Amino acid sequence: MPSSSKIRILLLAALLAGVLFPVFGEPAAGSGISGADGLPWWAWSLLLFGFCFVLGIVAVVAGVGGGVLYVPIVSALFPFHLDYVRGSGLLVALAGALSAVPRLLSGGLASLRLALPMALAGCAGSLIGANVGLALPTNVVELSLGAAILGIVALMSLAKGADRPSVPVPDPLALRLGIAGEYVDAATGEAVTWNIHRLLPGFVLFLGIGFMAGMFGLGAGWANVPALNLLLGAPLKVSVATSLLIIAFNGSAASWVYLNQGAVLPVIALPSVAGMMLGTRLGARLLSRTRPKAIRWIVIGFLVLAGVRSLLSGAGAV
Amino acid sequence: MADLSAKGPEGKAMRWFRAVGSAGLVLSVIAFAFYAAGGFPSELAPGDSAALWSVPAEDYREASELDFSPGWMFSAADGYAASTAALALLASTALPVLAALAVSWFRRRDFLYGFMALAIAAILAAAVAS
Repeated sequence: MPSSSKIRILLLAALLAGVLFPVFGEPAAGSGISGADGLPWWAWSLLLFGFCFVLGIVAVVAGVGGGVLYVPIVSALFPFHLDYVRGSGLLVALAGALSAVPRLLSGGLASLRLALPMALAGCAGSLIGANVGLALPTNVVELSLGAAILGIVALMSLAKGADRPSVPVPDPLALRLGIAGEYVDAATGEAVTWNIHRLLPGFVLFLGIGFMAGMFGLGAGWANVPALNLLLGAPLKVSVATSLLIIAFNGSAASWVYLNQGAVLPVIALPSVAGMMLGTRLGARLLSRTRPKAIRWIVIGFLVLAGVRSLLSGAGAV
Repeated sequence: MADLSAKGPEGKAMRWFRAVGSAGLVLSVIAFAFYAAGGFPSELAPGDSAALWSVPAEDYREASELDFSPGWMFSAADGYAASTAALALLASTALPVLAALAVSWFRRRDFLYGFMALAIAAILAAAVAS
């Protein structure tokens, strides 16, 4: 067995031992019973771990980012306040991006020169968005989150990515910044060269995407990929890989705002991150044996329900 | 093309992301396992934290009676703070990556990208101090 697999198994064992210790051993100080729901905290943490494991599999198979599924669905099904779900959602998106980025950089698909200007705008936006999100009343955030989720569903249903968009005239500023590249398509063995256009509109758009990602803790792949692919004209594979690189930079700024405000609870965040990371690894292995299109539509259905529920909750109807 | 050599920007970013990200994740799991098992003495035990997870963060800060000044998780020596500090290290992975990238780009006289890396690092530092 490779040593990295052994380390992963040991870490999982440590996590489960920690969570299960209060069941069989002497519990850590505190009541051990959470709020009004009656279940002990470790049962919720285990449920969350299992749920995020399944969510990670579904996210990969459906081709959707884990972050965008996590916040609406966990806030609808678990008894946690939206503040902590958003804080954990940012860490879930960040951890997923961190685990993928080294491989994407070594494969030449993620472009640092394209990512940096967009990350600069996105970081500033996410810092502002996180502060605004924590300052607003919960019902306002829920209403905006519901509207945002329904908008994302529309974007996911309607936007069709272009494998290699046509860029008739590359952006002069992008050329001066050296934003262009070449990668070898693993499916065809063909070397693909690419350029981009509309750099400045893209920069402004990433400011807005960062704001929404920070405010709602959603990650940002749902918006990064269409913006890079359809607006700036980067090939789809470069867009997906560079989007993860941008999240790896932007996720930090917003996460720190939530950490400093006490809106990241280890009992919620850690089981979520661990479950989602293990699930996405298994999902990647199952990808060839599943029917992604059907699962993608089921996921979109769940997101519609979660978006409507968030709207109703914000309006005080549930 | 990506420069994956030890001194190239892509190579540096790849190695730093891998090293710091893995370390943050491993530390987070270990610190949480100790915290959850009661291995670290803690002002806010997991059960106490869970009793407050349905209230807004503002009420949580007030009810927990902990000092949530910027960087609070590194100043308190208990399990709850240690577990949060490990997550904070994971969230800070981009900072050393950006520092290494800035050095690499300044050495190559690519000042615009060097300053861009420093500007993002400055925004992250502002978030850490917020």
